[in-house]
Amino acid sequence: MKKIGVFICHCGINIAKTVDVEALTEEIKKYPGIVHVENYKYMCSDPGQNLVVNAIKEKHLDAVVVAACSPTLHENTFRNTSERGGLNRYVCEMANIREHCSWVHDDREIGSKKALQIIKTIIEKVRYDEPLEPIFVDVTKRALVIGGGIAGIQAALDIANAGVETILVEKSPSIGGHMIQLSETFPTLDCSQCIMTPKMVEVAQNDKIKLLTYSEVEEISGSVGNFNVKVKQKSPFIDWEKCNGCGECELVCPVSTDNEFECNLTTRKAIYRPFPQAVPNRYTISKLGQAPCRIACPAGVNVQGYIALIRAGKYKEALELEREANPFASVCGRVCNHPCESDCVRCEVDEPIAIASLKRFIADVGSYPLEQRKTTGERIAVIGAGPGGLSCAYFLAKRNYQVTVYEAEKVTGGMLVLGIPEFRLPRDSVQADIDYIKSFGVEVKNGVKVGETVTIEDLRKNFRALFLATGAYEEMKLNVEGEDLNGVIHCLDFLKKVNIDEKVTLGKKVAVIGGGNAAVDAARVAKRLGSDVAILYRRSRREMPANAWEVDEAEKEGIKIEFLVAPTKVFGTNKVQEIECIRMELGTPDASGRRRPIPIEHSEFKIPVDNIILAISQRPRTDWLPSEFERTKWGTLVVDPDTLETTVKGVYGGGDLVSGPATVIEAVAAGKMAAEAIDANIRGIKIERKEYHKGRPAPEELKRKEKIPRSKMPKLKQDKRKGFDEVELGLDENTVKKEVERCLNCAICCECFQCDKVCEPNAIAHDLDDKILEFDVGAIVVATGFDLYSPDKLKEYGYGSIPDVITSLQFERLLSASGPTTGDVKRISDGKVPKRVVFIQCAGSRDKENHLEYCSKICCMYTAKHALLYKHRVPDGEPIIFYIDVRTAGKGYEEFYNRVTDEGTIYIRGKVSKVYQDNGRIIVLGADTLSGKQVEVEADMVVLALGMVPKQESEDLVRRLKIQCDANEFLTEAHPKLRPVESQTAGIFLAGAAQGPKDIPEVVAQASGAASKAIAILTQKEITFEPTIAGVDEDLCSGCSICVGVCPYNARELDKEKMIVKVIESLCQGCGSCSAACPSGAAQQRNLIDRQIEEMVVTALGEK
Amino acid sequence: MNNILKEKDFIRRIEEISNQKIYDCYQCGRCTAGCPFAKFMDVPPNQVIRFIQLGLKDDVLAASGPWFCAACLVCQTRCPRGVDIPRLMEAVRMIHLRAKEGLIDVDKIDKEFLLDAPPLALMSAFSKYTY
Amino acid sequence: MRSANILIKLEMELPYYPGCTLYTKAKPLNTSLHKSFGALGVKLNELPHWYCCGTTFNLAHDNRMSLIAPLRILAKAQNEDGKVIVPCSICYNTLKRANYILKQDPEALEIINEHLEESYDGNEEVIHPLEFFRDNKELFKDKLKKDLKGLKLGCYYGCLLLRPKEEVQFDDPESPTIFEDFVSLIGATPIDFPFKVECCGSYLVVNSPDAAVDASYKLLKNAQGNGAEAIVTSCPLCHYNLDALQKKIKIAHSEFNEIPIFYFSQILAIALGVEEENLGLEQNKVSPINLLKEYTLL
Repeated sequence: MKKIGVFICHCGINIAKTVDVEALTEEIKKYPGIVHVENYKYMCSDPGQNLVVNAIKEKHLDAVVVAACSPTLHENTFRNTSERGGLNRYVCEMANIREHCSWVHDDREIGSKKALQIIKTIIEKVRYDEPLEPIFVDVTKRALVIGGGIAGIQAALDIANAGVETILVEKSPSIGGHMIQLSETFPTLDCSQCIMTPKMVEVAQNDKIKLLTYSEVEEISGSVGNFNVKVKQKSPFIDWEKCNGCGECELVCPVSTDNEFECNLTTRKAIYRPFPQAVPNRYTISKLGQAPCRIACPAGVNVQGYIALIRAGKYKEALELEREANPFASVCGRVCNHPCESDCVRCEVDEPIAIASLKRFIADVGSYPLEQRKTTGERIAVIGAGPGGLSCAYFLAKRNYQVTVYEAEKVTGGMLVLGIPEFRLPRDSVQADIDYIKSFGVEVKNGVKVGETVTIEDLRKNFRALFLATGAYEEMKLNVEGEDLNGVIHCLDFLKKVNIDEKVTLGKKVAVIGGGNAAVDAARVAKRLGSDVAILYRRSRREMPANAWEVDEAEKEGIKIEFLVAPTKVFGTNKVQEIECIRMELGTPDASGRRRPIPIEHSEFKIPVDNIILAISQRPRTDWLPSEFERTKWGTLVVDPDTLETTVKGVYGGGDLVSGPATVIEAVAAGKMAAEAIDANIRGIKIERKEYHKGRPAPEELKRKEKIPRSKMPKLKQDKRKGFDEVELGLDENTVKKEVERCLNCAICCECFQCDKVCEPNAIAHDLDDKILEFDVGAIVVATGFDLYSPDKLKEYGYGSIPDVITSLQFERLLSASGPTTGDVKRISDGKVPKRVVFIQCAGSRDKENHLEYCSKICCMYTAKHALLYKHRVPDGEPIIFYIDVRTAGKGYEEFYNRVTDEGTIYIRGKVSKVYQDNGRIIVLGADTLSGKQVEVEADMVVLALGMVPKQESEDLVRRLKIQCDANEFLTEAHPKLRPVESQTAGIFLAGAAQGPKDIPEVVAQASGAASKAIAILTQKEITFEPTIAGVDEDLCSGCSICVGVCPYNARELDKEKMIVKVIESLCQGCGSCSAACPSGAAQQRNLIDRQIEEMVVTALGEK
Repeated sequence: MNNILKEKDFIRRIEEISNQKIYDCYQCGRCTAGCPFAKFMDVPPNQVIRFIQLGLKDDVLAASGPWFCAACLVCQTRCPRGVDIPRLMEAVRMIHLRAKEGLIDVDKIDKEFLLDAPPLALMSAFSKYTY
Repeated sequence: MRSANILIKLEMELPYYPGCTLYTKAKPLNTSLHKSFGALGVKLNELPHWYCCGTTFNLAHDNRMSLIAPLRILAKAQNEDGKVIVPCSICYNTLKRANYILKQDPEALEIINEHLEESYDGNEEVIHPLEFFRDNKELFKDKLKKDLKGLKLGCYYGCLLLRPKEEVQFDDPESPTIFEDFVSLIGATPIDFPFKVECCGSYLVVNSPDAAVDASYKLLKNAQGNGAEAIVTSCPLCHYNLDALQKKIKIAHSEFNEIPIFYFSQILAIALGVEEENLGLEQNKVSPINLLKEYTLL
């Protein structure tokens, strides 16, 4: 049996007053295996320790128990003592009879009894303790500092200056943090930028510092000495190797957004450098993905982009950008069904931007000379010169293919010129777009009917690829009796005849059957030809497929619409005379989601008519194609949805021929898609389609937006609508300028590529992706900083509703020589110099009931400084500070406060209840508790001294680092007094306001402290780990791997050859999860094996 | 320490009736700042509380402040320490009323007003001002 | 905020507690509310037997007696539908506070139940009409007969709908919007003003009319300064102070211009086309007739 010695400490009277140490000594002597028991007043003193050393030597002890205080305090002491006596340090244990016993009991009898139990329990542990050797691990000599504010900068410089390589990771594009935003600093009034920028430059110039801005730590594994870190470098969409910070891009960028650095007092461009002294001196593009309007457009037109360019007055560039994705700018500006407008985020504020009208404006505003180009590449044939075919030809010609378009009709444009009437789409508007397409070298051969004049086979022989876009022209029938009578005409025939100036005569009364755009168009044309027109539609207005705005126009023009009416029979001798209809009601929804119309019995009625125009629907004709082309049951062509290739190789199809009757923009999209597929196929590459994130402003930002009505399209007066003059007149330039200001810039960067055009070093990279970098580091300093408490939570102070109620950081920017007012204090609302500024301290702080319970520590001093600097800027100004207590604990702080009161700042002791506006005046409702008076102060400006909160986003990081936070989310130090810069995880240190509110001098001191702690680890060759970690009994382990799953430190892995689990000793923290999980008892923690735990439990329960 | 903290029973009584902890108040004065009737009071709310904290019973009972409290609860809503000040004011009133010291004499109310005012104005006033 | 959503039945009926004042001085509130609900297709069923709620909530913690009156009403209401519509701000506040306290304190509930002929289970929902409208907006569809467009109404909440926030849970006590939303819903223009959550003087009018005159003056001026042409409220006491005291305000402040005070239900009734004799406008001390005529609402 082991010879055990027990040494009991009185700890003065700390232990001895509650524990009868002498009696305990006698009792322990009787316990098995105990060969020596001794007590002493202070066992940790030199003479006390000598008692232990001597006893080990004289009594040849095998193990030692010191019954005293907590092992966190003196375990190391007595293990060293034991080593001096010649014992292995791991067979010395402490029994805590102070914190666990004497300090929590008053009764001496109970205390003595419990102390005995505790000591016996530890004796049972030590009985099975094995001598162990510490584990030595090499140290990675590299540090990671997270956060590039003053704390992170100081820590990084200190570590680097000690000769250790340091990686400094900062979330925003520049280092500098909040300190670079400040004007002057208390109590010395140094200019913050003047003392900060040298440090920032030093970081940039230090060879030992690798600076990673616009980066975030994604993952951390490992432990002290050997952490593995993954850092995500967010894409700035600019190649920083090439960018020289010249700023040319900023000048041409058409998009403005909130300026974070200036606390939103001004705006900045989408391409930006946070501030002129930024380190690194590089530009960044704010990009949230693509705007919803752009994503909604089938052809992917960059709507936000051309609107931004219009705002910049660059109409030509705007049109060019539009035509990048859609050559039919003039057409789509008039007749597009604009799904972009339905998805416009502005709908959530008031009404969508008038996108189509803006497009029309840029198409109409200037006729730019066209450069006639020639193409030289492979030959492609397009069949059908409608919007789909022409678009395909355009996108192919732009890629240098030689394209020939075959068109059966004499005119080019397909449905655009044959179907849509001129009062909606004048011919010269269509021609403008066709001329543009042709200028790329596209050849159109009119009057060529493929299948008759020339066969598909011929074309396949002579062209590398074919694109079929012959549209949908075959009219569907009504299938009622009398439908073939004279006077019943088909809508497309009718429109086509009118459009190509063939003579058409209608009778007095015309009924149009149908509810689509063609029906409405036909009705409006018939009206213009002098007839009385009624549209008969079998469902209700809500189900009508025609564009609602066109239906409205038709009604205004005097066209009657009969809803829920279906024709059942046409009467007449030779010529139509009457139409019989039946009333309908809506039943359950059908496949299209629209409610199915059901006839109401016996509700038939007759309408006298001279003509009936049938506009039911159309379908494509495919009878001219060989049978190898597969068709759907609706008669459309079958194509591969990704490439639009038909079932015949090298022949592609799109537009109405594939989709059935659809919109212009869908035809353009199909043409574009086919062109891309044909090109990819010829070049033997794969098309990659990227999914874009839908960019949009935050909901709370939308709430703040002012409502501005959408510009209305001016229209031709009703009495002038006799002929075929265009009804919509187009927006004038002034209206356009107002309309574009309504755009919310949803994706921020609009990808107009203006920056690209001016960047001399060619650094712009709109496709640049985020990068993941991986590092091994030995130690980490966390300095993630703070945010101001949100002023939106203090509704009674009027922030957000009263423009001249501002935050303390906004006031810093107003005071700063580099700020938006170059240091002049001016009101936000009217730019006037405020003659009285009221400062409200404890805005959010010291309010456990509604806001932050703690004192934010710096507000008293910065508010004093604000008042003083304001007084300096505005000598006849009146600064008034409402406070609860003025806390000036710091060197020179009270003296500074004295100076502030001496120079004329009024302090009023009382917390402000409310700030409100009355007749334009700002009233501060407060109290002066010293005089017992309620006070109402009229102010020109109110500054909220907001409290400090830890940076919001650092919460995630904290979880990844496995360090602790307090109730307020500030990082927790290992010991509040003795280990203030260490986290509870070895090798991770804390600096700055992330650990708690503090001012600059304190931050710098703490940062240097954290740095020196890190250096202490990083300058060692190797570090030691406690050997009391988990092991594996190879005989018992079955390789079930349950322990691998439960280990929080990834310290266990399965050896697949031996089929047993092994421990990575440098990672194991000895938490014991594996021992608890192991079903076979193979996972055992050294010196805390199952047997020890069992014996200790039995003893502690007094059963032994 | 001659005059303060003598009337400990009084402090306890106020705490009992109001169910508030009187020393929660750290005298920031926000109740006085936002009180619509502070200017009519000889002793404003925060000082009434201070008097209670110090056990200055006579001063509390002589103050007009509690009688002017309309229980509008603005102070209660904004108090950073979660003190329900109107309950403290009610407690002071209760000590008066339970000692049969009312504020108003029903017979002396203007007859025209009695006919004109809504009953709940009178009921409320009677419940706050009479025993 | 707790939802007071109620399933829409075609012929909806809701239990209703008017409170004493709605049978006397605040009759216009009662009549116009009944008519408005009727026009919306909802029938208000007055509780068969009801008592006074005790008016202003008693704040003495040791006074359980004062909880008896509100509890008797709640007990009556629970027999109906588990919920009750209460339009008077004071009754609403008193019932909600009593309900909250009894929920927190089952022991008190048990003791008080011993003194009642029928016991209360603590689960009654007290609903203000504005909450009901907020959660049943679809009832208004196609029901608005008159166009209130342009009529600028200051939305005055007063104290008792909002405070104490955790007990009444009506809306954000510092910047509520339920009243403004209601005014927008019926087509008028809501006017937000900082004093909308401040006190009108309440029962101080009985003993210290100067204090009530001062408070009412301040908040009326503030509403006018922000563009209000009239004020809407739901509290009979606020209505009295703001309306009747204008005579005294004019004496103290000669520059003051009179401004009509409406119950929210009066304005709602106008929008729903309720006939003039059921609006009770003649009981307003400051006549709204001219203003309403200006907007061709009469």
